[in-house]
Amino acid sequence: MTIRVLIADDQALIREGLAVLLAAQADIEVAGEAADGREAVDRTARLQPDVVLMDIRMPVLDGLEATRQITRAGLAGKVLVLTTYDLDEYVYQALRAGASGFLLKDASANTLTDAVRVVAAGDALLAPSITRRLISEFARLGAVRAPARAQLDRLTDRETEVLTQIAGGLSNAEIATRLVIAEQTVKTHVSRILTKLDLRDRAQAVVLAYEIGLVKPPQDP
Amino acid sequence: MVFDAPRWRAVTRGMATVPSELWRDLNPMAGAPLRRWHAPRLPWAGWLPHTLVLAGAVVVGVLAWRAVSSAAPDAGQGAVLLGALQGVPLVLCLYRPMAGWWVSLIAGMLVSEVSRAGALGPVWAEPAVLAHLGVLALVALRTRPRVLVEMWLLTLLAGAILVQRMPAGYDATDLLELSALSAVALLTAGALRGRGEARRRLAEQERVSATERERRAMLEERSRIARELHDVLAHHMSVIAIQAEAAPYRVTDPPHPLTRSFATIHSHATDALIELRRVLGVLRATEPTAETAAPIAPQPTLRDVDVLVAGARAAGLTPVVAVTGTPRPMPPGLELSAYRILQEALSNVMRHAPGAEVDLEIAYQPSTLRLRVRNGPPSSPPAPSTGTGHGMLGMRERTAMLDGRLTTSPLPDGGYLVTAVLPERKGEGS
Repeated sequence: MTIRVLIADDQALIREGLAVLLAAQADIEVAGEAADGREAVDRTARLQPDVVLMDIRMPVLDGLEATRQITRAGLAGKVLVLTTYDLDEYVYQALRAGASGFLLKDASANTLTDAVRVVAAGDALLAPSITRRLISEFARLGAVRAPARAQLDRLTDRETEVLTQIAGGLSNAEIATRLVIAEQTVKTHVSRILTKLDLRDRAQAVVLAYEIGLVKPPQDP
Repeated sequence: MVFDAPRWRAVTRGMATVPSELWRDLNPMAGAPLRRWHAPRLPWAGWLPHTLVLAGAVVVGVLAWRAVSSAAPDAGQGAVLLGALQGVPLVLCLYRPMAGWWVSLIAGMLVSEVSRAGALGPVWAEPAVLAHLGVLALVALRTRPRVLVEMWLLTLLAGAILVQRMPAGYDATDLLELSALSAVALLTAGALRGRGEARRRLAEQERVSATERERRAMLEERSRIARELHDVLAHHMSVIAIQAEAAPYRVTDPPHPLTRSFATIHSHATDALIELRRVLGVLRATEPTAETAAPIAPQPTLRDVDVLVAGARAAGLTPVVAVTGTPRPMPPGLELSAYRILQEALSNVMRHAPGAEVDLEIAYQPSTLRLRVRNGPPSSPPAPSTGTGHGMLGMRERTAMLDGRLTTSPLPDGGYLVTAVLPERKGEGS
C-alpha cells in the first residue's frame, strides 16, 4: 500500500524538491501540491492524502491554522510540519494544532521519508530533541491546565505508566525495556491509551500528559 | 570622652590636608573666565555684563581715589595708584576670579587704612565695600559653595585685622554690616549659579537622552532589518538543502561522485542553517516583542504591495499605483526592502497627511528599481505627531544597505515626495 502525500509550501522549488525525493520511494506517492494554507485545506479534503507535509509560513493562511482546520474537520490526512525554523513556539503550536510530527526542512532524504512512514502509521514523530523542547515550552508556560485530569481515571495503572513514558519521549522499544514488558504489549497499551483518551496519535498523548500535569516539566529547563 | 586613636589619626590627617585644600580653592589662578551672556534675541548683549563691570570698576576707582586724596591730600600719585588698585580687581575678576578677589581684599585693606588715616571710622572704606561686594558676587557666580564660605571667612579675618589697628573706642557694628552684606551677595550669586548649573545639567541630560533614544531607535531598526534578511537567507538555504537532497533522485543510478558532491552541498547548507537559526535566535532574543515573535507569514515581496495599498485605502488615503517598465523578479532582499520602504512611506503619509492623495510609482529600470511616493496636502489636519522618526530612519537604513539613494522633500503644494533608487545586484561579480 502506498502512502499518499500532499506537499504544502509556498516556495515552488521546495515543493518540487520534496516531490522528487518522495516520488523516488516505492511506497510513497505524491498526491498533490498546495502553495498556501487555504489550498492545503481544500486539497486535503478533496484528495484525502495520508500525510500532509505542511510548511508554517505561508501566505493567505498559515500552516498552523491550516493544520488546525484539517484536524478539526476530521480530515484523514495526518499533518507532518516541515519548517525552516525549529522555534519552540512553532513546535508547541503545531502539536497543539494537531500536527503528528515536526521536522526541519534540512532533514536528510532518509529522515524525511522515514518520518512520512512513521506518521502515516499513526505513530508520532517526536525525536527526543523535540520532546525536550516541548518540555521546556511547557515549563515556560508554567500553569498546568487541568481540563481533563478526570480522563486519567479511564486508564489502568499500567496504561498511565506507559503514558508517562511516552511523554518522556521514549520509543516503544525503550518503554518495553524500562517496564520489562514485550514491545508488542507496549503497542497494545499505546493504542488503548489513544482510544480511551480519544487522541489522534502519540504527539497528542504527549501534549495531554503535560497539560494534565501527569508529567511535570523540570523546573530548570 | 574615650580616646579613639584611629579616629584621631583620621582627624589629624584631615587637618593636615586643610592648607593644601585651601590653596587649591583660593589659588589666584583658579576659576574660569566669565562667559559671554547668552541671549538669543539680543546678539549684541553678549558683552553687556563685561561692559557694566568695566564701568563699575571706573566708578569705584574714582571713588577710592577721591576718598584717599581727601584723607591724605599730599598723596598725589599714590592716591591715583590706590584708586586704580581698587578698580582693577573687578575687571580682573572677569578673567581670573580668585586673583581678582585677592587683589580686591588687599586693595580694600590699603584704601580703608589710608582713608581712615589712623582716626576712628568705618573699618572698610565705602569704595572698598562696593568693590569687594561686586567682586564677591562675580566670583560667586562661578565658584563652588565651599569656596564662597572660605572667601567670606577670610574677608571677615581681614576686617578683624583692620579692627586691631583701630584706636580704642570702636564698637565693631560696621564690621558686622559688611559681613552681613557680603554674605547676602555671596548667597544671592551662589544661588543664581546653582540655578544656572541645574538648568545646564538638565539641558545636557535632555541632549544625552535624545541622542540615546536616537541611537536605540537606529539599533532597533537595524536589528529588525538583520532579522528579516537572515530570515530570507534561511529560506534560500532550505531550498538549497532540499534541492541538493533531491538531485540524485532525478536520474537513475547517479554516479557516485555526483551523489557525494550533492551530499556535501546538503551538509553545508544544513550547517549554514544551524548557524542562521542561532543568529536569528539572538536577534529575536534582544527584544522579545510581538513583532519579533515567530512570524507565521512569509516575508513580504513587491507582489504584496496590493495588500499594502488596500490597507492604505482602508485608512482613508486615495493611493494610485503605477508600475513602469517590465516587472521582473528582483533579489529577495531588495524586494523585501522595497516593500518596507513603500510601507514606511505610506504610513508616514497616514500620519502626517491623513486623507491625502498618494501616487505610488514602482519603476523597473535597466539596473535599478525606483520607488516614488508622492502625496498631496492633507485633507484634514494631521494629529500631533507622535512618531519617533522611526519610519524615515528605517527607509534610510534600508536604502543605505543596498547602496541606494533616498531623497525626501516637501512639495510647494503642501505635499511630500519620497524617492528611493535601489540598484539591482545580480549574483555575479559583486
